[in-house]
Amino acid sequence: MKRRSIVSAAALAATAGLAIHQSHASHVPFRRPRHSHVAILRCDRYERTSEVVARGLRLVSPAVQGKRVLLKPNLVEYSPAAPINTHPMLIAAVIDALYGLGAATVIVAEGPGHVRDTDLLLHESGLGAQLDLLKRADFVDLNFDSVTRVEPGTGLTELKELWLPTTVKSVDVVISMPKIKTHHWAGVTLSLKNSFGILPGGVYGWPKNVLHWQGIDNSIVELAVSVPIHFVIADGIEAMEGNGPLHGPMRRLGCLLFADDPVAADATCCRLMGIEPRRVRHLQMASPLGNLDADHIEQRGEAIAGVLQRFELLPQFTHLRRDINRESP
Amino acid sequence: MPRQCDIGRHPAGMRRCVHPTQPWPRTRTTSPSLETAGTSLDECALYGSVIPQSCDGQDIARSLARTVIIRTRIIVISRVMIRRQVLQRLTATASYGIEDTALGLMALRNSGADPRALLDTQHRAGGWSAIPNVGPPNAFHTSLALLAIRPFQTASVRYAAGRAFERLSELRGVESHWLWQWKFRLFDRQVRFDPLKSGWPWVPDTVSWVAPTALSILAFQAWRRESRRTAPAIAMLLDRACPQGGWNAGNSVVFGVDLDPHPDFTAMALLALRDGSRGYEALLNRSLNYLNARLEGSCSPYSLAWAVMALSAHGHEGAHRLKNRLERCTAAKLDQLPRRVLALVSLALEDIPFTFQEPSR
Repeated sequence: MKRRSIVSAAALAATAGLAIHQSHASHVPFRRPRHSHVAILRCDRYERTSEVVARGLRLVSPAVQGKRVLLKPNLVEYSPAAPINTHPMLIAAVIDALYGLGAATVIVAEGPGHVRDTDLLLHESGLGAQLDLLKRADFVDLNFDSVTRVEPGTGLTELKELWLPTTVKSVDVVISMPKIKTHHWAGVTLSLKNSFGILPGGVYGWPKNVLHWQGIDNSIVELAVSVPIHFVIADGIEAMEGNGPLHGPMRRLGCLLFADDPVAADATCCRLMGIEPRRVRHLQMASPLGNLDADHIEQRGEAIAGVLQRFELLPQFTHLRRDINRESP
Repeated sequence: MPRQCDIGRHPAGMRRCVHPTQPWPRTRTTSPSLETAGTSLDECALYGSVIPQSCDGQDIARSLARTVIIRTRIIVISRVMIRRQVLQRLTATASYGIEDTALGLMALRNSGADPRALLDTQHRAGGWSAIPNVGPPNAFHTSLALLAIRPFQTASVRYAAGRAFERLSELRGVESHWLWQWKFRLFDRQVRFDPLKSGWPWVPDTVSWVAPTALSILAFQAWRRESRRTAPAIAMLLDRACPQGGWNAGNSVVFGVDLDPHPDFTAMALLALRDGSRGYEALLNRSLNYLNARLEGSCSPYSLAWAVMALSAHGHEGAHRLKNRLERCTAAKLDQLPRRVLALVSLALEDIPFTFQEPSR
């Protein structure tokens, strides 16, 4: 009798837990567009980014005329041995192209997750030199920006409040510029995971460990709701596989990806890496925010099958692997 | 082209040592009182590695000594001037957040700074958060504030410090809980660390990291407060050191890969370990040498300032060279530096670089 009670209580607790988990999913607001637009363009070297970016932006037509635009690259830490950061030449090409499309202001902003000395990182990564050369875009260190309180929208984390940089909340358009990489905690790090860099280290520390303790996937989706990403330009010329985001080997994917929906962008990047996007937990959770399903993604430029490569995955993420033979572009 | 000193004749009849590519100066290049044959020989030493045979040993020794004196004077004057400029900018730049305020107070402690602005931002719970009214108090900013108010031994400062230390003692990395210790020892083993050795986290309810732990140790040391927390915190820092020396943000090996150290976290850890790491001299030496070499060729005043303070605290020979570099880089970037960096630079450029252990006044 006693054993039966314990089993019943355990079953009840499990059901309650599942119910709570399911109810969390409904907290993610529904913002999914009917169709999303993604363009994949081949680009074999960074010296060619200007022309490819101009073509890519024509294909997804970001509405930036007269707008204040924030570019959020992936700038984590520098190592001469690994392609960790979004390449400075790509960032420079995008700044130029956005001004060409009539943007009022373009800001490059990042709060490096592992590094307090952003000045040193800008210098060593080469981004500082590119921005100095261009003289058209300021860099804002989001780790030390003034902050604005935001009420978390999803309830996926136990955070009662989010402190976000004022700069991010004051712009009209946010363009995420991730490096296409695998990630040893999240499976992949693309435009949605790239938003971790928005949180100010000045408040949350280095690294922003509180996001890990709240659940990486939950935190990614929470940030995606709190700071909507309007466009994505992903750096896949030199990508990273295996033990990303810092120590994996370089994988030459040879493409740039442009999208008007971060979920569709990340889903397409996954497909390019030989990963099934529905198996990436944070992408599945973020599906109300954009299109995961290839049927609702209007694919432009190259077909996925022509660019797709099978990225090495750490053993804990081999279940993400896509059956490439059943690939439907 | 190899440098060579030839003895030539100055139009005014002075003996002078010249570089083959250097024309005779049209005007005097040295002060009149020093313009003697010996003074002109200073340039022998300055110009080249090839010492002319006609420069005798005594002349050369004299000229070298004078060169050193003149150069030292120039360095001292430029250091004083740069430090004055830094302090001027520091007083003219507004604070945003506790790091700005606390480091500014440390830098201006001998220039009539008042700790009240910092005391007014203390939480009712006893500590300080990154920005007043933003989030709960945390170890990093509480420690910085404690270090900043340390020289001002008034009753209100002592009262504030007492409350802050109480709060600091309550903050701890979650790995100090037995349940998490078991989890990290048995299941969650991708990050290599000993969970029995814990310090302070950045934010409550997360694990210990190097920067808040190092500053908390420094705060306890500076105030000469005994705490059962400092010994395991020092052990934690030693445990988390990178295999090649130096410290990353908090871990040394993740998924079997050695992490790279960072200069600022390394400097903070070295400052905290100045007195409490007997038996770990080899690790400290590796870390000091890493720090010294890492900033070779870099021009970031923030990292250079931390490095100068840490190397100087350990009496490392590289401190002087990095201090000179810090001056040059600061002069080049003075207008762009935020307040917290200006304050750090000022502390590092003090005659004896600040080490967070200054006795109270």
